Amino acid sequence: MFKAAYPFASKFKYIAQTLAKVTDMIPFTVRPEGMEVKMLSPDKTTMIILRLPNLAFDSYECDSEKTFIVRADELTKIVRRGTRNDILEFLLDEERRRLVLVFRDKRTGVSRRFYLQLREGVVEKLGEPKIALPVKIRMLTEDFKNMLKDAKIVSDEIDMKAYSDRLEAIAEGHQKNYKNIMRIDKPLISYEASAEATATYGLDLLEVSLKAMQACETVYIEFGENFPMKLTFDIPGGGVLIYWVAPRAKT
Amino acid sequence: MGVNLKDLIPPEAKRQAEFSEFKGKVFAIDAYNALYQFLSAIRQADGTPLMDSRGRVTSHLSGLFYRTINFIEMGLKPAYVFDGKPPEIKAAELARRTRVKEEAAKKYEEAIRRGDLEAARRYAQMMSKLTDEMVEAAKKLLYYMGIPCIQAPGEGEAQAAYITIRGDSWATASQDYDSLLFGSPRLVRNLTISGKRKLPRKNVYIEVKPEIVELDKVLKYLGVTRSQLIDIAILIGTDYNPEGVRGVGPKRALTLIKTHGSLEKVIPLLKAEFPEDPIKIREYFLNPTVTDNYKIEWSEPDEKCLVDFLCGEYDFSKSRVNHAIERLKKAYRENIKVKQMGLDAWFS
Repeated sequence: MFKAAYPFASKFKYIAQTLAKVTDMIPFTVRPEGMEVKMLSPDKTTMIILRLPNLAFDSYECDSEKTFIVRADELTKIVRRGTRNDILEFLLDEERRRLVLVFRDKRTGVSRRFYLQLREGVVEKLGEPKIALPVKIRMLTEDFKNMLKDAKIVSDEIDMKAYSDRLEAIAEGHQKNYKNIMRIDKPLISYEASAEATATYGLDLLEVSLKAMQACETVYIEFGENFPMKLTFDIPGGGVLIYWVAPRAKT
Repeated sequence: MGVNLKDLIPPEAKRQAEFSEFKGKVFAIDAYNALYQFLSAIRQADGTPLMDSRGRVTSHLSGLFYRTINFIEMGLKPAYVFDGKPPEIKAAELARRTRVKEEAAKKYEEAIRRGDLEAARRYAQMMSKLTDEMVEAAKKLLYYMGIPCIQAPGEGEAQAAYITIRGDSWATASQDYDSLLFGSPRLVRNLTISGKRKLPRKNVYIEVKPEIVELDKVLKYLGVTRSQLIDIAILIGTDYNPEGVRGVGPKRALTLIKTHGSLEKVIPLLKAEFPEDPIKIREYFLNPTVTDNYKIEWSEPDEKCLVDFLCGEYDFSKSRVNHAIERLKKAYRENIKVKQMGLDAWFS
């Protein structure tokens, strides 16, 4: 059996919306130690990993590993109904092949129940890119979001250039350019570049993570010379959302 | 027309696909097939194709221009493969097509006289004829768009299959199944007609999605070799023997070839007549005339030439064309000039 109560229904809304931007189906794996979603977009440009340990839940019961798939649009439509006062309960009804989602209002105790049919399919065992990334940055999600929005005004891609003392975000468009030089405390929370590196990423791919940013205060960014970018969001209350983005190669 | 293997393709060998799966992939598109699709689909209510002020048909150019831009925007890399000289064994099919068009033209006139627009549209679609001038215009348009055109020495589908076998394209794209007989490892159908489509004679719209058919799975699940699949197709009817064998449908053809092994053993049992030697037809599918002399390279769209060509020569709307060129330029910059890599390169 699998039954769990997540204390922040409104935060889960943003997480589910981020997951829904990558594929049409969301494959869940639940184990006694926690919940995991791992998905690779069909065009293999992005990968998303959600890990919520059992401690992130108010209550968590899972006797053995189970996998199930739900339609992303159906899940997001339901979780969008969650408010700040709601706890989101998950109950896997294996017999009827459905996931029961219950919003329980913390103040009034009123509950609203949704039944979501499970979809057929096998949850694929996916690996993760195996690379050491020399550039490691922590910044406020708000600053990261602004950087993407600024760059978007001039281009559809962003060049990330890491030097020993600074990070440069550059976008070049037709008759317009954007350059943002960032250093420790201005506005980076932490910065480490064991090697200089430059890589280019599509802004549309990075923007997918914007929803996740609404659930988290900081983002941990890692990248390397023409390597994928790894964005790690620490979810308040426990758990992480990892988002991998493949780089662009200029021909 | 091509061979109709639809009822024979095992469900395990085909699947619906999303365009997002095709990002970064090269498609060898059967150009004649695509142009006929555009010519047939892009029409006014009474079936009249789009035309310029001089009465020249422009439906094929409109379809080719806007659909190709959609492809590039979605990250696909199209290369159009044009038919060359048809093989001699195709004479019977070409004669049959001419007959069909002549009959459709008569019926079209009658339908117009009766005021039956639905029927008129249907017959007008059957009358669709691609002239040499239209093909040359299509090639010129693709050249200005920066899209590769490949001239096949013989059948375009054979050349597209060859390009795919060599790994220069990911799949062939056509509505017909012939490229599978020519050995293409992967065929994508519905590429040029995907989207909302009205069902003929019904006021019902359906969502048409691309369909991937994989040759190795077709052969595996049918339990035949490629040569046997060709034999089955010959019994059903191909472009080189359009009538097939009377009384032999896909299921019987499969059973006959699986039971007896090959056409050589089946033909004496059926006492069938063929417009061409069926063994010669099989040989053509196995060894068609193709060339290594092709280049698949995309280039920057030529804005001025596109405007001059479409608006100056063919009366396209300048504002619509300018808007589409902007989309093309952006898509070219994002999806072709710059290569979006996949994460799979870092998995191992």
